[in-house]
Amino acid sequence: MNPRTPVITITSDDLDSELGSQDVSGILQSSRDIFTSTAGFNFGSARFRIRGYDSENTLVTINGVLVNDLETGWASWSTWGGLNDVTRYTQVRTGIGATRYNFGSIGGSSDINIRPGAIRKGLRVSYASANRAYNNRVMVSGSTGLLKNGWSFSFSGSRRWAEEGYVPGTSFNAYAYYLAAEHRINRKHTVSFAGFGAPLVQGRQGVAIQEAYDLSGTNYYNPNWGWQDGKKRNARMNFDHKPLMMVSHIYTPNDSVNWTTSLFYTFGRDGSSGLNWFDAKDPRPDYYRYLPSYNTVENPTLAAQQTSSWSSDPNVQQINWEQLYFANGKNLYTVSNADGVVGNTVTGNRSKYIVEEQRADPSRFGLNSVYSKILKGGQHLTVGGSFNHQKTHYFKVIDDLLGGDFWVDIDQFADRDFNDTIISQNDLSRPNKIVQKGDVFGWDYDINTRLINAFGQYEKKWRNVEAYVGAQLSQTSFWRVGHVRNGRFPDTSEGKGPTNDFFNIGIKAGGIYKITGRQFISANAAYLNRPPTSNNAFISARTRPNTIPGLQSETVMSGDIGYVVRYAKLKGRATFYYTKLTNQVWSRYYYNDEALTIVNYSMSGVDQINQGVELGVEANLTSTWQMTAVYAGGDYRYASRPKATITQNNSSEVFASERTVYWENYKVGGMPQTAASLGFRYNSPKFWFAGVNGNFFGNIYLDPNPDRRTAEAVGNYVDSDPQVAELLDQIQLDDNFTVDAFAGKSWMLKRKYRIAANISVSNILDNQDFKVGGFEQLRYDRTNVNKFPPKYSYLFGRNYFAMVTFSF
Amino acid sequence: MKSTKSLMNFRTLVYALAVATVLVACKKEFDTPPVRSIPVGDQLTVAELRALYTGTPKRFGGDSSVYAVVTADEQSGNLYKNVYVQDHTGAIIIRLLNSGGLYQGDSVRIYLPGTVLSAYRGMLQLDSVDADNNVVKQATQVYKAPRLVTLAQITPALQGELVKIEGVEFPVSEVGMTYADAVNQTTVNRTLTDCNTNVIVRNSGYANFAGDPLPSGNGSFIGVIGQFDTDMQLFIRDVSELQMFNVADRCDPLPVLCDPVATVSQNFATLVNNVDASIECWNNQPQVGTRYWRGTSVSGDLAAQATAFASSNATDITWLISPPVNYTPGMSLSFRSQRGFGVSGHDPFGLFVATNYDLTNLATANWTPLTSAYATPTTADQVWVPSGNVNIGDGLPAGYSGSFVIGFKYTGSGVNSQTTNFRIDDVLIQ
Repeated sequence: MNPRTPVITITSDDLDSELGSQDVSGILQSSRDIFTSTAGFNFGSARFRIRGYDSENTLVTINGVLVNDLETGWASWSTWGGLNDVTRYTQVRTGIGATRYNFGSIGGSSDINIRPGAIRKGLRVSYASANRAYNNRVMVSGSTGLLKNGWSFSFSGSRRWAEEGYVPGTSFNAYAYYLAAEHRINRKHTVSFAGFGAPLVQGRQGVAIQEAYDLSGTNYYNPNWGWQDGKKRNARMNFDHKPLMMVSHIYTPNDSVNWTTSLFYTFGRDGSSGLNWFDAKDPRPDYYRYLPSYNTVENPTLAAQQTSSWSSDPNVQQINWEQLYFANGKNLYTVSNADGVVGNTVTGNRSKYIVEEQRADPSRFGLNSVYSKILKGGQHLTVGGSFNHQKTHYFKVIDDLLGGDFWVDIDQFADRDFNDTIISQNDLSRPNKIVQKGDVFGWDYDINTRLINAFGQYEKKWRNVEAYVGAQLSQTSFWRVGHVRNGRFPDTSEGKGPTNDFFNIGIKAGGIYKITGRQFISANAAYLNRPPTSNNAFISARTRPNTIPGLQSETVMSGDIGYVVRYAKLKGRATFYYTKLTNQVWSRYYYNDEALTIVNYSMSGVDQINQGVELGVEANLTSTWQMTAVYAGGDYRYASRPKATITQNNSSEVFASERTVYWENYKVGGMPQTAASLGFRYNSPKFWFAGVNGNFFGNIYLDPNPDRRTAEAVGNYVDSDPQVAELLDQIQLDDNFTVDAFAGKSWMLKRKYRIAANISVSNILDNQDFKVGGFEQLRYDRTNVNKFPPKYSYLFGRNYFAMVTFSF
Repeated sequence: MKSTKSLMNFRTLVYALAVATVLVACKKEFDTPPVRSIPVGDQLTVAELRALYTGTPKRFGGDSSVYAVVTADEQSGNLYKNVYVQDHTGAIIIRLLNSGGLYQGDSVRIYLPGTVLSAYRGMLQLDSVDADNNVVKQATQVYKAPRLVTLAQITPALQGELVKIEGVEFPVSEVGMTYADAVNQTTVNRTLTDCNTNVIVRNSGYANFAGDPLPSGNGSFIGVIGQFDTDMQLFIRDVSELQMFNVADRCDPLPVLCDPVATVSQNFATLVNNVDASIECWNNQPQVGTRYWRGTSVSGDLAAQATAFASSNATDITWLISPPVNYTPGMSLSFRSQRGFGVSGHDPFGLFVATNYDLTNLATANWTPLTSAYATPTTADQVWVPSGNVNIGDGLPAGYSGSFVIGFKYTGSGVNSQTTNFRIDDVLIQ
């Protein structure tokens, strides 16, 4: 599961607050839109993505400042998790449109307003109970409103926790804090400060192959944990805390001008732990050789024995921590010439197994300035620019030696491949480096990314038409700085690597034609090119500064046309969209069985077409009954034959270059391409409401493993060989249906205090067989595709979220 | 009234701040659990352990242990899931359930319950040993000196022992070959000889020295003793322990290249149909696999042919090498070539010149490609293609003087159906 996948949470509460001051074009794209809110609220858990777009296609801004990670393009919503009282005023716009913060992107934008005015005056205390990632949440938020002296303050704090979440072995412990102050100096000048952070420690869920789910008897089997001292210990923990602080200056010389300038800085820790091991057997319980299927043919007796122990013995089914301590505690070992000192001999228990933490600690600052002016005759002009610099420090630290005395910092794969003790060293300045808990080892480098951009937008309204045009220029550079010299790439691994520069442009235009005051036609189009994200651009940043061959900007073309009705009793929208992404790059690494080492698989020239329709209808059947119907019919497919380069992590050896991947017309995987929802809601005049939704999801595919779709993979098989189809056919997951319900009531006490209770129950039918995602393993055996079957993840069964709020 | 309220709000804010400061996520530390220990029980010597074998596999129960020292480990990749241990009474091979964790010089106690004493093709072994659950390390770097023996003394009585043999060499027929087939990762048997007795040296294709050439001289060898049925075998534990460099001391001297000639004219008329080519002063030598160039009769005319047809190797590379020729500027080469049963897209042929080839360095000589016309995949089968005059100087350093050889190289694969027959004839160097 990708922890960075954005989750759009929109409550009906939020929707109400957004009406009012917005113009028509805004409403058509905003979260007020029934399609967008249903997609966010009811489809999110099934990994539905609006128009099939990755997170990098939706820009997230805080007070107008872009916060998408510059290396991945993703917006990391966990950074401000637990601050729902603050982020509930997020303005969501989907698709291409006029935005007054930045140029936007094809997926739209979300702007989170965290200025003190963002929180309603007063105090709000809530407690929530749930059985999802966490079980409990407490939250306190408040705001002073504008005080007489021109100041206003607001704050929010929360804790979310679970000893064990919905999935066995997962845990959750998170806090969040937010503080903001604003001073209105005079009519023209306002300055504000806002800061927030959300320290999070989370035990993660892993995905497994179906055999493991079947043997353990649950589709929520989690291979990441094991018993230790009677407690469940998870090996894969996230440690996340990236505070952000921002100062803004708002200049309003008159009613028609707004010039906002913000400076922000963010830094912190982004760590995820996992097991590592050296010269020892694989400690992961679901390693393919420990599962019965590996031995069914050759050793049925052993397979039967494994079936029995795997399904019943927790020390086999899960990580056997005590065995790891046991092995480490008696692995006496002597390191000669330790730490690069000749004659320095260290003898002790060398850990065979450790828990290590891989870190990607970002630090970033940005300056953003946007000038917006209302001109005469229904015209509006926005211009702005920004400077962003992000440095992410990648390294590993020893988290736990698991009872051993030390770990030796050498690359285990290189150690096996070369008859040379220098090559395998991770740090040539200290060969045979002995590392202890807390020490940095493995790799240590920075990726720097710099983005400078400028944009402008012009809007004009006529009687029946609203239109806009916009353009953007940007310059992006990224480079690697290595902090250690490793034995595989002694010449290039240390120091500043070459800078990769990209100059990009974007243009967009669109408009709305009012057929009547109640019916509209809208159309939008955009063309932009953009740099490859640096996390895809490097072959193996862990070892060297080289980028993949054929690196160039990708091109995006997108357009949509829609029909909108807005009657008092019937609101609806129908939109057709078409997007083509060309020249994308794609990079992954995995353990290759044949080469017995980690390989990097990179593709350039990946094209993709996303097209489809969006329908959303909201009908007020009576003054109390409301019906919603939403349909998303997408067709997301690859549209080119990319060229792959396969390299070894450990050496400059190139396994293959210019390998053609026959990917055309394979479906983009990992999300339902079709989704539909039908809902009914009852709003009682006595301050309560209840509703139910039925949701359908279909056309869900696994993303194809590129290497299985090459001439090399099917080479030598005749076309009629069933193995060819096994290698090539794409896996489609089952269509599924879920039912959700929600209800709420509020009371006023003494006309001053408000108490509200809400509950929502998802997947009421407790459908536990809904595969929402998964992937084909990149590791594969072309003579036996089922040796490394796909891994799947399942939708949570019946789950709930209930909340009581007290506010005044 | 109003100011009290804002004051109250401010106070709330301060409290909340204080709370927020206290709320710092702390990480749960896991304690080291008490670690179980392995009991000792009865103590056996290696000889006593070996004596327990009575012809059927024996699975150990009850408490008993053997103390020994690891003499050969998996580090070089030549042994996989095997290590050898030895004490003052004898030696035995340990078959591990999982690779890794035991190293040369480790003084270990092997706790026997769960392990199986058995024989595999004549080799007594302690099987199903778990490096974590059955082995306790007592000390490290307790290195055993190898026992000095002769090849004739390598008998089943010495199974598993670490030995050193002096005055041995690899036979002439193997010098120039690699230890194993690193390309196909296939295990290969080589021969260690003192010109009286031969013993197999068995090398894994996964060994980190698999692709290195065998040493060409006479000297000392260190390894451990294995057995396969009645064949005695030696396994190298670390290739740097082979000190076999003294070419002058060889009991069977290496052949030397013929003296360079002025010109070469060869029509292969002396070859025998379907018999590996053997021509005085020419060298016919496989680099990978087992295929040689052989005589073939093309409409009654004999030519030299190489093919991977019906070979079971993943790769076959074989060379036919001309006698050494004294270079004089302007020298040229001509020959004709032909394909048979040509496989579409398979181009097996390469033409090279080398100046430092010495019979033993096929894989590492300074082969430089020469360009000529020849029968390519687009040429019809059974059609002779004349090479034209190839300027040999193109493949030599400027101003070169000395001798050279011409190499005709065939590359194919029986396994992957790259099996074109390739023939050459009428080689003229002048």
